[in-house]
Amino acid sequence: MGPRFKLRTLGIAAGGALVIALSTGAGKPQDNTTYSFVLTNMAMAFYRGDEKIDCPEGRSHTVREAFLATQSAAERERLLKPENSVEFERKYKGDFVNGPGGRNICTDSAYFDTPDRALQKTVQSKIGPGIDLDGATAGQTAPGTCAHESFTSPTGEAGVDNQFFRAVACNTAWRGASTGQGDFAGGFYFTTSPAVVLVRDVQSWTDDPHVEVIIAASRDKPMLDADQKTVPGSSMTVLDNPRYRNVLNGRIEHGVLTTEPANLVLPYAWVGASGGELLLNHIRLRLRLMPDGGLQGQAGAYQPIDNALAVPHVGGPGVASVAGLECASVRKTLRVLADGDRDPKTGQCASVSIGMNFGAAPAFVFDKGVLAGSPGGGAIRQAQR
Amino acid sequence: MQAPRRHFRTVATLVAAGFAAALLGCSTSPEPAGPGLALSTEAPGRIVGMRRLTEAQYRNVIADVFGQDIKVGGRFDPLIRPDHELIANGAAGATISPAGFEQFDIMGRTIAAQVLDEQHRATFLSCKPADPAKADPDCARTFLRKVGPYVFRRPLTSAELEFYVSLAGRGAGLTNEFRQGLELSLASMLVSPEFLYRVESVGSDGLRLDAYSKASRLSFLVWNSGPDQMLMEAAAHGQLSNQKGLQAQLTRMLASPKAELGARAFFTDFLQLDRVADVTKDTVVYKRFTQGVADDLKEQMLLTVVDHLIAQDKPYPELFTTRKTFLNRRLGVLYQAPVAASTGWEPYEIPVADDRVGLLGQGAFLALFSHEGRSSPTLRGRAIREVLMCQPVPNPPANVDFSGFNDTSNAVRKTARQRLEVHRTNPTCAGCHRITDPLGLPLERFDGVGAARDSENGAPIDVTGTFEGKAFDGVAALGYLLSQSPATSQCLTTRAAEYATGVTTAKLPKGWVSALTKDFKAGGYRYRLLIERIALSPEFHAAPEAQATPAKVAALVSSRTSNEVR
Repeated sequence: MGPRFKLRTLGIAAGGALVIALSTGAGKPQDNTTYSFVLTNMAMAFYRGDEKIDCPEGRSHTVREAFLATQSAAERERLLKPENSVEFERKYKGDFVNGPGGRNICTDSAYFDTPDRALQKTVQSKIGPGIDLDGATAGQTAPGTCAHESFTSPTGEAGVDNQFFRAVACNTAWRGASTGQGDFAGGFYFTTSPAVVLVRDVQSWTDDPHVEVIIAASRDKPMLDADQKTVPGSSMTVLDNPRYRNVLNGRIEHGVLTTEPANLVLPYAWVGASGGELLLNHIRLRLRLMPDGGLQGQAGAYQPIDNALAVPHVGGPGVASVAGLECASVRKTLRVLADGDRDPKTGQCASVSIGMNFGAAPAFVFDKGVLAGSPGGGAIRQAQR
Repeated sequence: MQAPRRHFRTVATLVAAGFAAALLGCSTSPEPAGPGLALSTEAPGRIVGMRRLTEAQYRNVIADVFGQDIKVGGRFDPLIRPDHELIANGAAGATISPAGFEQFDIMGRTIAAQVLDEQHRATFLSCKPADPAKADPDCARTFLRKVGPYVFRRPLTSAELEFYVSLAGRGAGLTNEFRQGLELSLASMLVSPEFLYRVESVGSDGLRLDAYSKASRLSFLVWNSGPDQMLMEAAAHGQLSNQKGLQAQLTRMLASPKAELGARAFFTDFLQLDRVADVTKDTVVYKRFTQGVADDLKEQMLLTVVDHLIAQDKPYPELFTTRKTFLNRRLGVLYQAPVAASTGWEPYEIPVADDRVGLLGQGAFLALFSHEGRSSPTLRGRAIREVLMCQPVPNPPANVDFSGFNDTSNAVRKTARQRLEVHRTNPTCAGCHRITDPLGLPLERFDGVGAARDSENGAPIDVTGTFEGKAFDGVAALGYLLSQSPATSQCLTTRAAEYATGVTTAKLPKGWVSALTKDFKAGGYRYRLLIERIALSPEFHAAPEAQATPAKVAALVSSRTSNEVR
């Protein structure tokens, strides 16, 4: 047998049929009243005021500090000696953060949420970011909610509901060690769990009594620039999974798009970790179309208590042992402060209000095989500069 | 099993010995034909040309001879592109540095080890050694005789065969393994200049290439790879010496999907797309430009060219006006265009309202002929002159003051046209800028990475110009004028002739390019037809010195009318 002569698989011939099939009907917008985007940001809104006013009781404890608190004064002193550092690390990173059956204080925070668990140091300031979710007047409790204090937003809006902020904003993991925000305030990782936004039936972005907002998971990662920011004009495909297709009804008044409360579910994964779901009940959006064709604004929702710990949960055991987060304490605090999805039988609330920043960049979105609308309503070219 | 350390130097010496032996040439003695291609009864004639394989050619040959699953890993010494020439010309004068040879040595050993590993051995080794721990000259000979002609792209002489058989034997003796000895022998062949270079020899008349050199020229021109079995057999049977046999092979080869590889290789060289891999951009200015984008831009250009010229068989001038190209998701962002396919490429038609037309509108051209942090009408205009029209433009003087032009945030001179005005009005600069800038400025609605823009520093961009006495406005109009210019089609013909023969324009036979250009035009500017005309030309098969001698060329050209192309 002589030497083999193999032909190369050639791009044009092999790819031609495929791409022609894929491009059928995909080149032209479905309509000109749909604005399409890729979600770039849906992160916890953080307001940093004077720390003495925000957190007069100081910062919340870390796992390390929580462990030391369980020890006698003499034992604390002994463990903190440099020569005992290895033993100290082993004890608090081992026995204290782990339980039977491989449980971990962060991945199984409910198990560690015991009556003797200390609460987080909560925000005492009257100012907090977010949206008025319950519409309750001062001193009143809206149906389906639990009694709680509201914030006034940094821009002066009263009645802001954001118990999540109240619970965690004195914790270094969110507040940050110095002037910057902590790792967990970085929001949800929509580069690893991409999602798209379609604003449909838009007749006028100034005033429109009804528009439809679809927030859906995508199977494609958006393009990132050298600064790891989403580049406008990415092509994204909507994931064909009805569970992750969230339809919200809204209206536009004076250029502000506001949606009616609706539950939202999106897949969610942290970098390098297995994923879960992001659950945001009764979510409301308040958005503006920006000159660059993107969307900017706020979102407010009630997040189930354990889901509010989604980042720590997905982050795995390292969240406690490396980042030092005392997740069980955070969970307990969220339970105490929970203000949404009240169980009429027990009177207990199952979710906690949260305020988020919301951002989306103009993108080409293929929905059910068809190009859905135009990126940012055609402002895409300006968005490049 | 790894060879014992004390044997390493000896083995390395043997591999190098193969290189040296091939350089010096081996004496010949007739050998009866056996399995595989017959041994040569005589040594190849006088060497008249050597062109080092390009990286793509090396990879293609290995894939064709040993299979695509044979991995080729290593760094290739870069080939130099002489000023205003093709890399194909640079390959003709390319040496191999010690470090480059070391890389070829590593690659050769790795390839040989894969060819003779358990997975692939049976495909190439039809015999079994009498004792796997010892040398077996007969079995080694059988293997080398089959593989050798496709590695050297000609039959081995008996002396060559015996040399490599003896290498296999000595290797087996050192390692106590027949297979390792054979690996050593094959690795040695793979660092031989007979493999690393396209060695061209003359036939008995001393004027024309011998049959196997013809076959090699043909296959590298059409496929960018070595001859296959049918082409080697055609050479062996003298079928490449007559028009009918040559035409038959050419028709077969052009119909092969591998013809795309040949077109890709030529246009990579012609359009200088090899340089795209080295394009870097200032990520502060162009945050979206990554190495991946650069690679994609090159592939986009090649997909566009090959689809237009090979798959669609459309006229070359229409490449300047076509709105058809291909996009993937990454380039979709640069082009700000929707791309349905999550992975891979899909056809895309540039909207009529968009001025991004043809070759000039391709991101690869626009990004390649720009600076790191800004576009460059001068580089682009020069590229149009030099690359697409074969009209060399002198380099700028060493003491040019670029500060005025580089001040891209100049509040008064906001656009490149305004900033370049200084050069166009300065008599020292004007000579060149008058021939480059009017062709580059109309491309200014595309920034330094090829993304569209309407304004620069808030000022509208003027994309008017004149070309060959005709005023135009925008890339589409310029593309049309270039498509109508005889200079562009003649430039392609010239470069194709240079590429095919490895010689510079000055050394091409007089009148050949004119004849090819005339045929190219008469044939509707079809690229396939151009390649066919080149391959069937007597000039294509002539020894380089013969081409340089008018009397000899005249003798060769006179045979064009006959059926004889020897």
